[in-house]
Amino acid sequence: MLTPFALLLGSALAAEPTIEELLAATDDVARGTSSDAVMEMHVKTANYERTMKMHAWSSGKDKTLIRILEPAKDAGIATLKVDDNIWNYLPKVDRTMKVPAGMMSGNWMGSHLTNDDLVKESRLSEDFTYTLTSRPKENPEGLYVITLVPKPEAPVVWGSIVAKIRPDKLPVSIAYNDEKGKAVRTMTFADFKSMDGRMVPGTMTILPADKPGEFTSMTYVSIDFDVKLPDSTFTLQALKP
Amino acid sequence: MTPLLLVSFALAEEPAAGAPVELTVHGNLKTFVLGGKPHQWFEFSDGAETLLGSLGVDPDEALDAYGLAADPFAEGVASGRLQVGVSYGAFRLDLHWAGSAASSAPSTGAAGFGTGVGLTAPELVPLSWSPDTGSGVTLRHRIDRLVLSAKLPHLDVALGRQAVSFGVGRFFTPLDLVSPFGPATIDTEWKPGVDALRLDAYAGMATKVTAAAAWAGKPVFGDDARDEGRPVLDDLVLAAFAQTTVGVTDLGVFAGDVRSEAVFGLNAVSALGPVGVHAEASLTLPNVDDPFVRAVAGADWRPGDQTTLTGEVYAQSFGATKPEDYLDALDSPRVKRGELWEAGQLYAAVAVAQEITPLVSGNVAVISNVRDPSALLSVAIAWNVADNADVALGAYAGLGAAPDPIALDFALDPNTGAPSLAAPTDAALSDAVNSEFGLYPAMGFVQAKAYF
Repeated sequence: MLTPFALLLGSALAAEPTIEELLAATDDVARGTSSDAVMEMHVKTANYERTMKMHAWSSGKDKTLIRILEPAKDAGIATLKVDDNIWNYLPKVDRTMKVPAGMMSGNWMGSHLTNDDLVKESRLSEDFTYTLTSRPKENPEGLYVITLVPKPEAPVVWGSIVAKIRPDKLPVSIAYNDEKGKAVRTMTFADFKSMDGRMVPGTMTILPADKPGEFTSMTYVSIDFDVKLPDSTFTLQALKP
Repeated sequence: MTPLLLVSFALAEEPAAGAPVELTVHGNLKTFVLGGKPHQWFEFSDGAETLLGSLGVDPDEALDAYGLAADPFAEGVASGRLQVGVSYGAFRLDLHWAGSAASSAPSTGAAGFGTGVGLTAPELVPLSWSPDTGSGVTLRHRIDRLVLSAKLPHLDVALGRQAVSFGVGRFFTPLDLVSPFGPATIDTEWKPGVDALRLDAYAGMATKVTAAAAWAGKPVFGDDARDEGRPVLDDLVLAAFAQTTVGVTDLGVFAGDVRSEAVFGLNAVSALGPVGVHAEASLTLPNVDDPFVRAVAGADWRPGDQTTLTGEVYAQSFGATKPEDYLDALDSPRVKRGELWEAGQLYAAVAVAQEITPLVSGNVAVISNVRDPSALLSVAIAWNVADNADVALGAYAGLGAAPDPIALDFALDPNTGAPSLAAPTDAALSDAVNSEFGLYPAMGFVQAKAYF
């Protein structure tokens, strides 16, 4: 027969999320099984600031459609990713161009984001091996700290990643290191708010380690999770506005 | 409106009550300053110089007086575009006005050179005009887009003036048969609109069939583009293009009746590891001349995060094998109407795009006629100075044997004995050509662009 203490302990233990749950929640923090979002990107460097607005649809990790709304000169340019296929549509010349996955490296539109950040091809919960470095009771921030190393075949460029996640499974920061363990950048999550009935970070910020004062922030103007998107959303037809 | 479009619109789901009408207004302003030095095509023969000397006339001044001196040139161009789009449910109307003011008439681009603004494209419905300014400034206005479209389940329908592109080539475009850009067009941001009916039918994620009827007569500006005595329908491009994706490879098949000539084509885009590869070929069956083939194969590779390399090889059985035949090839209707621009038969091209800083990018490209050999070198640097403003600086240079100056003679009038300049013969002009890209003069430009 279980004592009340044992029940409480069991309940407490059951409530503690697993590492897999923490990582999956971080992967899906602004994604869900599907999502429909409008977001603004703000890039600040030592020499310039740029802003961009885009509409993005996603389904799982394999389907993403992004259409640029602002600035005016790029409005209408769209990127579709389905599985390993990526196409760009350039409305001014009516061309749909296939983009090899190998061409997707590098930063996106002058920001500190990589193309992979946009299409979210990799997932912490699937493409990395992980170790729980610290529990909430073991650090003053009260966070789960998880160290991740990419699997050999994973489509990522990082040597290791350190994720800090709140007990309610919301991420606080993800630090990315190169293969020598040197810090490359940190992604922070802030401005948590309820959007479409879900608590999400309203703003995600990329801070490059070697450029103090520079950042790229992504702020959600709107986001709907687990929306039923038409089958045509992730097709060549949807690339055209 | 065609019955087909009416039927398509009837099939469209009726917009929900209260569906918003969305109005978008964008536009841009651009300015160019161009300058260059053309080749010296003409000189006086020894006899003509002796005659001029006896008259006390300096030969250089005489060339200038005849308008034959290859003086450096400079040109200023300002252009603007106003883009208005209205959407209502599945329907959309796009209207673009494009205008330009130039200190001389902009190039049509048919010979390869052009700013890319003030471009002329074939017009079944004349919607271009050029008011007489009474000055040295050439004003051009064009309705460059006027297209009504409907996005239906698995089908897009568009009727009106719109950009129509086919094919996957970067430098060489065998299947882009309607108003392709020339190799030295500075600004290729907007492809000129043509009058067309277009249907795109979709199945699954990446299978589509495009059927288009586009009018592609003479690219003249502000005038009736129809050839007198030639039926309008003879200048139609009727094209069907089917595309599907197998694995990571896009495969396409093209069949068309292009200006009353049968054209068939194939293309493919795929990846070999980190390298993107593409290939395309077309077969044209003219009614009178021999069939000819055009084919291109190329690759794209990013050796680093900031560098992109692109290369292509291209061959066509149309075109000349000897430099003395290039002018005839360039004077052919196909080149004049912009269907293709290559005068020779075998080409290679390579380009390096380098991100110098996140806001500054450089581009170096070389397009070469392998047999001459000659090449067109282009170098450009673009600076994104603000969210909606860019500045670009660049230059083109033809590398290869320049044309030999043609010696002009004076002919004596048999009645009066007065000397008059004898026009060079076509044969003399043709014989002067030594290479294809050696014909291209050196040119530089500065461009500023602002968007709203």
